[in-house]
Amino acid sequence: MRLEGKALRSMGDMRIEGEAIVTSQPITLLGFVDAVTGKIVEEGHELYGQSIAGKVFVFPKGVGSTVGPYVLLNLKKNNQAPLVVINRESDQGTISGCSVAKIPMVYRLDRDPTEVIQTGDHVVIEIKDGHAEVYID
Amino acid sequence: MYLTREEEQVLAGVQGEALATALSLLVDVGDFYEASKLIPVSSAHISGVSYLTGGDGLIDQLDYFVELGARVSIYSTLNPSGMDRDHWKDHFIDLEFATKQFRILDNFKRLGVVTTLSCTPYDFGHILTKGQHVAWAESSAITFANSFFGARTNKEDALSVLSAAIIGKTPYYGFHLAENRVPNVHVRVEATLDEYSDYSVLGEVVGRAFNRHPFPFGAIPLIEGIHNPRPHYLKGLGAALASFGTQLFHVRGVTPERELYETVDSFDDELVVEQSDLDEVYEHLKPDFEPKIAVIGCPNANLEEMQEVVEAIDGRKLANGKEFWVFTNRAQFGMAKAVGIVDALEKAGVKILVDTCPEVTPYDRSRFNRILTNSIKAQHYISAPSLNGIPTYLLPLRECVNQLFEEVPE
Repeated sequence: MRLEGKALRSMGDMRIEGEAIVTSQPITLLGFVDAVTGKIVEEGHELYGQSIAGKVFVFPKGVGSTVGPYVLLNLKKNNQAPLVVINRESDQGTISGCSVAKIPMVYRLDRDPTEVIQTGDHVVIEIKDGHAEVYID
Repeated sequence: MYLTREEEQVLAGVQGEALATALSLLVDVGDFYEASKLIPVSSAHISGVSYLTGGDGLIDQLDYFVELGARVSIYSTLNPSGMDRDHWKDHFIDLEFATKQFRILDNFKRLGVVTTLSCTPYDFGHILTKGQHVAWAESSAITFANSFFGARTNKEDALSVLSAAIIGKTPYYGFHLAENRVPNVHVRVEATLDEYSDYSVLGEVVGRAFNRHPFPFGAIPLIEGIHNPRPHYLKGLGAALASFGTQLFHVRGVTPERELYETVDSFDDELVVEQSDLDEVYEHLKPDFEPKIAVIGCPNANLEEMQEVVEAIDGRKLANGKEFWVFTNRAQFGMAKAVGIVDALEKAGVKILVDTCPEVTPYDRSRFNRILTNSIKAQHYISAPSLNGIPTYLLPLRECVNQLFEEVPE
């Protein structure tokens, strides 16, 4: 399957591939993602206890504190950052955090990525000039 | 997003790496939101100050800008840090934390930021007007600026606001445009709201009810049934709402953007809040143990709230082995000192903390394993597992005081 959408332009063109971890629930970065272990620590969240490190991390949007983007910087610093972030609606904090932490970020796809991508899927992403193509095996 | 010729040059690095980096982030954000252009903002309020929340990533980011000689280009103030600059030892802060915190503050100073260290910049140091474009972070301050004053700011985050402060501009989208400030949900309050915590709990009830709607800029409630609220009540309401993603609310007859809410006749959702809805939240969050510490001042207490604490104490003394902490800023503290409120509180055994807030200060867990507060936002974030992760409970101010102070002598 192939999806099309946009990507943050500031990181330039690239090809990424990896294993997906997917949730349809928003992610509260500050307080509920552990920057040391890369794990989601929000009780009751469907990804509770799972690590996002090195994964194609698919979620609808980030919510919560305006300090949330520093969690993305800290994940990067601790080598626990996701390989790439794919959002459905996204939010400013996730955009900023990805932009500064240099985590490639894909958004505004032509289908809901939290529905068509399943946890464990092998995903290939090609980013060129702010345009993204996402291939799912 | 359209960039002027000058902005294109800044992005290309003609004016140095710091400005290019700062602008690059604004372009990523602006492109995402399909902003037409950048607009000038008159002030910035910067979040991401405490080492507890920002971590080493924050230090790295500030070091980066300082080493490049960056400066903010507009008046910029700062959110609370993780500790009281003068009395951190009295609050059981360890030296390593304090050292890193001082480094963060020193870096902000070098960038030209005024280190006010408060989450309530509208209580001092800023004058906001309706329609004024600003770039503010700190979710509770954004909500208050947008709602109470009718000023215009998006939910700037800790990184974007730093860029906006350096460049002096922000992408023109979202709450900067009147069309995105129109209420989309309707709330009728049929409960009785008497004090700060009632409004904070109302924020929880309303925020939770509309949490799942995919509104691009969050739920924007038009609230009916609130009459003559004190400003800090709306601050508490907004702070709680902001925990659920609402950065703007209107209250009929109270908040200033009448032209936006008086003409709306259809809403995407509606809610009636009854007394039982508030009671349910209180019941769920009430302490079932003997509390050892209460924290007041999320967002930072103003003069009026400190006076409310004095009145609630009513001449009593803090019980042995208990702690009662009031978080404020140096401006409100100065006024409170001048009018005798500080002395009254300290005489009763209250500790008044400045420069910090109940959520971004690290608690000594060997002393405090459960915390009592009167703020939903504090309840939410103190108990967040990768912050302090300490179970936190909620009561109205007077009952917080009753839990920790000696009984009135017969």
